[in-house]
Order: sequence, then structure tokens, then C-alpha cells
Amino acid sequence: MSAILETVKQTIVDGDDDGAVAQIEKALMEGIDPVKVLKQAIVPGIERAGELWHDNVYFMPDVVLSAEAFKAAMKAVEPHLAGREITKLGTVIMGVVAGDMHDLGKSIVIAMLTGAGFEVIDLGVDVPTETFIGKIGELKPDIMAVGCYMTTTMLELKAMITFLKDNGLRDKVKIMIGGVPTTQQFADEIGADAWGKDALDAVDKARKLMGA
Amino acid sequence: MGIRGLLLRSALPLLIRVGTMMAKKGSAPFTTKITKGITLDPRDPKTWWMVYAAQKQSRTPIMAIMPDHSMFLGGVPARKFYSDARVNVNTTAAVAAYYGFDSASGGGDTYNYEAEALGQKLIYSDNAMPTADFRDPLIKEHKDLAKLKAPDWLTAGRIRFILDVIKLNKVLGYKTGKFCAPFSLAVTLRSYPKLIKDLKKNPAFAHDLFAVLSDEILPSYLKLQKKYCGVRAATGADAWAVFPNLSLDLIEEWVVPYSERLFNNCLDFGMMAMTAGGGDYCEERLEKFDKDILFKCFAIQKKLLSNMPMFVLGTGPWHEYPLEPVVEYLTPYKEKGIRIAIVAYMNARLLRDGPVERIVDNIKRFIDVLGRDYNLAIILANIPADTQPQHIHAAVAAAHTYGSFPLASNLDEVALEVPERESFQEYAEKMSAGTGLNI
Repeated sequence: MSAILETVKQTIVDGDDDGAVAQIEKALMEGIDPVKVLKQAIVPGIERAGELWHDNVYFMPDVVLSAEAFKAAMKAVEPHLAGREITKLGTVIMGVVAGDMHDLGKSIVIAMLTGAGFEVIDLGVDVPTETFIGKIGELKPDIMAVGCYMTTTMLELKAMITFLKDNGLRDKVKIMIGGVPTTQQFADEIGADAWGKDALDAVDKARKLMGA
Repeated sequence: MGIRGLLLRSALPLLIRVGTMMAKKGSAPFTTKITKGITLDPRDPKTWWMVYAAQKQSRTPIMAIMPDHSMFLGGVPARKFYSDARVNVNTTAAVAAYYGFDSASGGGDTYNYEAEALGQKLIYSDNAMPTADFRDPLIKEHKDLAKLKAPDWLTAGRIRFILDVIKLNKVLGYKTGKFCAPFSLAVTLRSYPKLIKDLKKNPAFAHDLFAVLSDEILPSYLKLQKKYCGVRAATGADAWAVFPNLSLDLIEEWVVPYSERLFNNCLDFGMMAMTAGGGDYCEERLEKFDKDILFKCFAIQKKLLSNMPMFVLGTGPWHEYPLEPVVEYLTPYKEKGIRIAIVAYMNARLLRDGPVERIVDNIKRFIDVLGRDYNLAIILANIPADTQPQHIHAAVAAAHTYGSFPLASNLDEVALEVPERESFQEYAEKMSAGTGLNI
């Protein structure tokens, strides 16, 4: 790997968003293929942050900063990827249920899923069920990932899946849930297809849902 | 001795009393005292619990954090539960009486009152507690620090509501104020990613933010709590500062100093304001459980609790963690004859998912391992809204049966009977003489 790609990767591992953007611009100016920047620097950067978290070297603040740097890096490189064929594992729409404003976990999961090769459409926080349903019809995603972070808002998930069933939409999309109060048992109870314990687990489960 | 020394001395008796209470055999932290002779008033759910609590029992106390569950069980809309002090406390007291908890206090929504009063936008919904709109933080840039001025607390946001909750809690024997600790308040006003970036890349700005919260905003609020509510101690919630939400280095650098600074500022007017949560070990993946990190968390807790002989096994998955490292850490205290107070939380997800047998086994394990040599109190950690009441009745029955003093030498030989109970609605009908929950 060229030195500059190594530097880009390291800025993401270090959670240096400004540095990541500057180094990506430099790399592109030097004529390095943006796909190479993506696959050999940006993605390995967020993957390395995940490994460090897994090994108890990185903790939440480090991972959040890496996710922020990843987000900034993607924003910098994406305009240069237009028209390029990039294999994706699948499309995910992701949001936090209505009444819930917690987006920390969502941001990390989006970074990790994107790094793993998924196209992720972020619907934001405090997302009404109708919006999720509208996006299923409009975008035809493979997976709908829904987060909730309070024991009251987790009940929205139950209502959401019931609504999808009642309206014949349940089979149109795989549903993955996550968030602090949720468990595998809760996912089973409400009829979700998968439960992500944390961001890395969410990537594994999403891959499995896609048969990858 | 200067004026500061005199003021410190004036607060010292309270500190000593708390410390001594926790060091005596048999006593436990957070148990409330209800005067005997309380008369049951079917129209006042507070008395349902007070009459029950007045029957003094010698046992390991069990209590709960349960705003969501109380609201759900009582069928109270969120907007009312989190804005009407009487409704909040009466509902909580009724639910505490239903389960037979050894302490009861209303509240919830702990992280938002001060922030809302300062101007932070909150999102309200029909079913959930209000939460800060992190998309629109009050402190977007350095110049926004000028917005942080102590408001007229009595009229700002929902401060009056929580002050009235604290006053009503005193009726229930819970005489402690509540506030949001400096670190968690900074997160609410700034958002977590931005604040973390500040800590790493713009520490001068972060210090300015923490200083104004610890030196001006929170002391002025706690001064009012003391005056309006008549409390001399308050606990500050700090869930954003648990490990691994923050690394140990960041907790040491940012949470401990400003918590101590706030504590000292409040001692100046005779209020003991301690933050709780920083140093709570909450690693979610069991394979990452690390004894050394746990010990460092305990060391941080000691600093945050001003060296009081007390440790908290908080909201992490303690039903999965081994307890041997805890005993190893505490053994030197035991050998010195210090009877440490342990506050052990029962995991919220376990309480919701069950099964009953697993809940009971974990209560029994806490008591067996920690209830003999230490002053143990068990807290059911934020009971999820739709938890089956039978799970909670089982937890309480287990605590009261296995935790009855003197503890049996072999808890396996103690018979446990989990009572078949009526629904909460049937209970409320019975207690209110047919009128239902009077809130």
C-alpha cells in the first residue's frame, strides 16, 4: 500500500476527521484511484478501529471518533466514485424509532455496515413507522435496521412489525433490530429476523441475512 | 480556620453519619425510615407503601429504578408522568407498594431537567420520557457558552416539577435531591460525539464548559434544591461517564476532577452533592470482562464517593460477570474490619426476559456472595416498561427470603415461595377501596 493510503487509513483509526479529508484530497490530487482510496484505506481504517474495540484497546470514545472520521472520509470520496461499479453486499435502511433521539449506536453501526460493503441509507432519529414503511416501498432495501434505546420506545418495534404483518409487507424486507434495552429474546418475541448486540455483531448478522 | 474550613466542618457530621451508617453491621445504604403509626388512606397511594414500609424488617433491602415500568403499569401518559409531581410520585409509590420494595422514590428523566431549563430543546412523546434533541445541541460552538447562565430555576423548564418530586419523596422517607452530573449534562448540551471531539482536540473549550457547569450552573441549582426541598444531600446521575462509554483515562481526566469541584462548591453552602455512575463497569461483552479494569473502576468510584466505604456494581450485565473478583477487591477491607456497603444492580434485560428461575438465582448469588460480610442493597436497574410483574415479585421474594437476617449458612436449604399475585390494577382496586389508582 502506498504511504498516502496508509496515512488515510491511520487518520480514520485515529479518529482524525479533518486529517482524513485532507489526506484523501491529497491522494486524489496525486491521481490515486478513488476506488483504491475507498477499499485500501478508508474501509481498512474503520475495520481496524473495530478490531481495536474488540481487543479492549479502543473504547466508545475512540470508536465514535473513528466513525466520525469514516463519515467525513466517505463524504470526501463519494463524489469521485460516481459511475464506478462498486460491489455492494446489499442495501440497508436504518433509523431510530419514533420518540427516541439517541443516535450514537446508529452512527457506529452505519459506519461499520458501510465499511463492510453495505449501502446504508440513514433515516435519522425519531422516525415514524410510516416513514420506514414508505422507504421500504420506495427503496426496496434488503434490510431494515431499526434502533431503540429506551424501554418504552422498544415497544414501537413491536407495533411496527405487527403493522407490516397486518399490511402484507413483512416479507418484503429483512428486519434487524438493536439498541441497549433489546435482546435476542425480544427480537424473537416480536418476529424480527436478527438482533445486533453491538455494531460488530450487527455486521455479522447483516452478512448472514444476505447469505454472505 | 477560615470561613471555608468552618463550612466544611458544618457538612462533616452528615458525611460522617453516612459513612458510619454504612460501616455498621446489618445496616445498608439507601434504606428509608418510615415512622410507625402511619394510617392507610385509600385515596393516597403514598400511604399504601408507607404502611407497608413501617413494618421494620431485618433483611437485605431491595429497591428499584422504575419510572418507565411504573408509568406503564399505572397506565399514565408520558407527558403527564413526567410533568406532574403528584402523579409521578403517587404512581411510583403505588407500584412500590404492590411489589413490596424497601424504598420508594419518584422521578426519572434525570438527565434532562437542568439542560431543558438552560434552553436545550427536548422532544416529547406520548409514550416515552422526554429526551434531548441531540440534532440541535444548545452549545454548538464556543460563543454559545455565553448562553449558560443560571436561570430563575423555579420557573425554568420542568424544574418545579422535579423539585416537587423531591419534596414528595421526602414524605416517602427518601431525603435526597437529584441532579445531572457535570459530564452527563455537558453531553446533553453538546452531544456525545462533539464533546468527545472537544476533549481530544479542543480541551480548553471543554474546560470552559465544565467549569461553568461545575462552578456556576449546578451549584446555583443545588442551592435552590436545598432551600426549596430541604435536602442536604443530592446524587448526580452520570450514565454517560460509565466505562466503556468513557475510557478510564478520560474518566480520570474529566469526570473525577469536575465532580470533586462541584462537591467542594456545594459544601460551601452545606449541600453534599455526589455524582454516581462514573466508574460504573458496564462492559457488555462477557469475553471482554477484565478484572484489572474493574479494579480501576472501583478506584474511580472511591474518588467520586469521597472515600466512603461503598462500591456499586451498576447497570452492566452483573448477572453474567463473576463475583469472585469483587470479593478479591473487598477482602483487604474485610481484613481491616471495615464493613463495606455494596449496591448491586440486577440487570434490566434479565428482569424483562426472565425466566423467573434465572432472576431468583442471581438474587440468591448476590446475597450468598456479598450479603454476609458486606452491607448489601439490591437495586433492580431501570425495570423495562413491559416487564412481567411476576418477574419482579420473584426478585423481591428472593431478596426477602434469602436475604432475611441472620442469613442461612446454606441458602440452598432455604425454601423459596414466589407468591401468585393479583394484577396491579386489581391491587390498586383493593387498596383504594374500589376507586382505583388515585393519581
